[in-house]
Amino acid sequence: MGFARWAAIYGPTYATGLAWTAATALAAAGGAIAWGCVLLLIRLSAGRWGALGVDGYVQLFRNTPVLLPIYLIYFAFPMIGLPWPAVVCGALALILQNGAYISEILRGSVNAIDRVQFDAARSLGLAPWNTFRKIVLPQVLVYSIPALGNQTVLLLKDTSLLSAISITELTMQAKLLTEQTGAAYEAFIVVALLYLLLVSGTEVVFRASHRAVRWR
Amino acid sequence: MIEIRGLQKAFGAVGVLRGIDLDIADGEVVALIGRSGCGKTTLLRCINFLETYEAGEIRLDGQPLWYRTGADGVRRRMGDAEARRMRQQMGIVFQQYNLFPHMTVLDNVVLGPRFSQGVSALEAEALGRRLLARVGLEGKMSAYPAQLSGGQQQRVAIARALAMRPKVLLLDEITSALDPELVGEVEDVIRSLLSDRIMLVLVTHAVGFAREIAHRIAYIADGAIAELGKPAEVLDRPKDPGLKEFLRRVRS
Ligand SMILES: Nc1ncnc2c1ncn2[C@@H]1O[C@H](COP(=O)(O)OP(=O)(O)OP(=O)(O)O)[C@@H](O)[C@H]1O
Ligand SMILES: [Mg+2]
Repeated sequence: MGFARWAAIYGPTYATGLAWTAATALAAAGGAIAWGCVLLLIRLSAGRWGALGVDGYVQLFRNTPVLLPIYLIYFAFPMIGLPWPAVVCGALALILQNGAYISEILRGSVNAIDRVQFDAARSLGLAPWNTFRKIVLPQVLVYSIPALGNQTVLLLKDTSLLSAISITELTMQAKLLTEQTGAAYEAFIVVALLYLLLVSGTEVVFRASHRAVRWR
Repeated sequence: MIEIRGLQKAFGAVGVLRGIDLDIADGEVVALIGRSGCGKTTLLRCINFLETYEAGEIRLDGQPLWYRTGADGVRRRMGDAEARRMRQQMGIVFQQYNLFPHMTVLDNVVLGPRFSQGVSALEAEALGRRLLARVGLEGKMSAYPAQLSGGQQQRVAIARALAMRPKVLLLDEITSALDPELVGEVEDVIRSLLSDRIMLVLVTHAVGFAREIAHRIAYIADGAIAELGKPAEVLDRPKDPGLKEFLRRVRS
């Protein structure tokens, strides 16, 4: 079978898988970084109880497999009257778990900010919210770019778990093709290469954005 | 004017300030000298409420700062929002450069007026440009702090403090971390402030510079002001034996 014919037959299936994987990973990564920032804000500003609450949350998600919240949200939410599409449930589960990891990454970077900057911010009369959004967050995000890149790669690979709730992402498509064609290895090898492509692309983006920071 | 009465500050069990009394008149320049660890930095930080203190009163133009004593006689910190408002009447520049590294020079200067004082972006930027021109950095507005020399960074820090239009500027050894050849440019900027008639409180080990620009010099020892007077009195006719010893050492 020539490549053109192969691509005409199987191309759309892989393309669909690639699109779902890329789109959920992108949305979930964006959501997880945003959620991580919110968790950091709560930890820094909501006193002892806020920090304790975030700690508990992080421990909960760090010590459970992500498939658990995926199933929980997918099967339990309809019961409480929230019949969300599978992809929304799946992305939400990824956001909740990766947000926990990311808040820890960001917390580590807060220590890289020189303490005298907080004195300077106070002496300018900056309110806590402005100090967070103008001083803390921009620096913390930049210091965290390499670690955020790693976490995004992990998240990207975890999107394969969404096949468990019938999302037609790459791993699911490979499984379907294998069942249809009986060719056991071909589809998984193609999909592995496509993951490699996505992961390399992610790493390139994070490395480029780290280099693009002019003030360091 | 600033009135400080009976200011006491301890770190744990160690009393650092044990009753500071000092008045600073409008437009007055007061230099604080004293041996390392005598509490000069702590005093400036208390004036600006970067440190809490256990006893004493500070007034700025008659308004009591930082603590209120209620009808029940209990002393309480003033609310955070009010403290922030009061703090905007003061500027402080520290020994270590502490510009915000992720912001351009202009953004550093504009930040306070924009987000603490609610000045419009346009107005704040105009103010920032004017102040940076005044400290001789009109060419560096869009540079980042890491691209500047120490002297230039301290000049930006002065501009950033001035942008709040403070009544008093607190300067804590702002030239002592600089290479010797950069000290002059920062001292020039301080000299240029004298015409503003802003209150200046500066901590310095440069006795010559203190003599030149200060109206009065305060020598701090054992947590109190041990000697206070005109530069000529304090530096040329010191009475306190500790001060005599201190001057011998800084001059040699
Ligand atoms: N945050 C702190 N916690 C505990 N002790 C402190 C703290 N800050 C300062 N001290 C102590 O208080 C004393 C006064 O310190 P301070 O920094 O005010 O001295 P200084 O006169 O500014 O000295 P230098 O000339 O070296 O800057 C010192 O003994 C110092 O060790
Ligand atoms: Mg000091």
